[in-house]
Amino acid sequence: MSQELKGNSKDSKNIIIIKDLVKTYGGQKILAGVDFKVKRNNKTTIIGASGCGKSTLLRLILGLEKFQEGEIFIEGQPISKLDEDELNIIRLRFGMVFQSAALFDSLTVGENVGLILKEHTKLKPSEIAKKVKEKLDMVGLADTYAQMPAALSGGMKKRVAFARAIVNDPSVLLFDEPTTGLDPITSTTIENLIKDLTDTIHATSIVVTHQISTILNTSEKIIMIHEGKAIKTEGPKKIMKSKNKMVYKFVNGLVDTAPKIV
Amino acid sequence: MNIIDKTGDFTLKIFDYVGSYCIFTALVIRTMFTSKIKFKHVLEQMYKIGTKSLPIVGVTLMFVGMVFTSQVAKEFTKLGASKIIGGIVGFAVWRELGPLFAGVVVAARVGAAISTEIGAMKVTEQIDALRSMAINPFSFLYVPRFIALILMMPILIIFANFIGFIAGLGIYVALFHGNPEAYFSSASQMLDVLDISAGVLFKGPVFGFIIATIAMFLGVNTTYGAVGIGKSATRTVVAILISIFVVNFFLSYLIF
Repeated sequence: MSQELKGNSKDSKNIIIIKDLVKTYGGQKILAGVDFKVKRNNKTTIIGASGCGKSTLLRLILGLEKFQEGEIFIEGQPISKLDEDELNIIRLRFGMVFQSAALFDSLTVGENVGLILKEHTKLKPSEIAKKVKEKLDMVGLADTYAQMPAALSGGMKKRVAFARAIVNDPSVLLFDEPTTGLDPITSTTIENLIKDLTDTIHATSIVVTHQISTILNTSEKIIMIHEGKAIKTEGPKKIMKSKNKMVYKFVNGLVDTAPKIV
Repeated sequence: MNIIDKTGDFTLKIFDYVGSYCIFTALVIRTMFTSKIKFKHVLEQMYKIGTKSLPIVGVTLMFVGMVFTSQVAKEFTKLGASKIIGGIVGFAVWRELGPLFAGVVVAARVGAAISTEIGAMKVTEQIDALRSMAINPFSFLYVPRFIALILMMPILIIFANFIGFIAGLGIYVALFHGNPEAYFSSASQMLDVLDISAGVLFKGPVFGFIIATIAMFLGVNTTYGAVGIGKSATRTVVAILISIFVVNFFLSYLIF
């Protein structure tokens, strides 16, 4: 098994390879053998019903949680074999935007965005401030530098989280439900930011969402998680008329893809 | 599920919880010696935990010293033993009341605050955000609080003892027309170095250790949003208070 997995890791086109991934919580299989690849500089979207394991998948990619079976290869490295220090080296190549934005309440916006540079580089405070302002400007929030996160709206918090995720120019950006709970106009702004920022820093992006507009606006490749497995789908242009019954029902909001309520 | 299953299940859960607490504490101590800890973070916590606790510790011990002295003075004066009141108050405050009440106040103020802060960071994914940025929560969050509490508890206890003892003097002089010189002289005759230092040097760091590790452990194990944060804060204060009372008994028994 491990040799088979090793064989798949030598793939320079794909920045992330997920192989037979199994994740269980309290004996219940959330992911039951997920397989897919993420191409370098590609925009991948992961869709699926609430609670299907989409966000868990992002956390597993970053090594924030352990999985039971299978493997995740990042740039060819099997992450289950890495210790915390080695994982940290990989994490520095990623930028993650959490569903709740996850800004640190006790730090200002500027300190939030610049924290990773302060902790991991030898840049002077003035250089960090310059970089932070540049990234805040990219998300249209240059004037919030000295504000506390509590003073910002939900959409602004998400944009600050974007600035924080790109401040060290990572090669992969992960977005967990970036538009959930936002109004349509703010959602469109966020979707445009995802596309623009990913292109500007030449990054690979993985967006986890169940918002149709986000799926259509930010994807090149779409994967649906259903009953613990990854289903390949058509691209954003054809997904609304998908030939796969499950995918068709999900994107068109037909009820029988919803999790059963017992 | 029968009673045997339930008892077994409960016992396993207790062992699991205690085991997790021990592992968490061991990781905090290991990180303290193996990772680079920013002195600035420790100083910030020392200010938040220690300096900001001074007023409430002071007010608490002032009234504790006053009530204790008034009761002791009333009875001792009846017995004609008013000359040793300073020594009795000194014994009580330096050995027990100062350290214990300082611990209780810090448990309520700081323990609950640490548990709530870390719990909120856990449920709002801020701890995951730290890890996603390759920042170790142990060196960034937990160790500075741990060091700050261990260093600041002895200082708070010195302050508590001093306020408690002086408040006692105030009551002794104001209500019982006692002689301040007799108060100090009986205290200096009855108290030895161990009485004055044990509460500070032994109980202080131990109470700091208990408050820091329990508050952080229960905070980091918070689940279920706002309700979970409230539950963690309550559990933290209860667990710390019980632990401090039990440990205080054994420390006093062993030391004095």
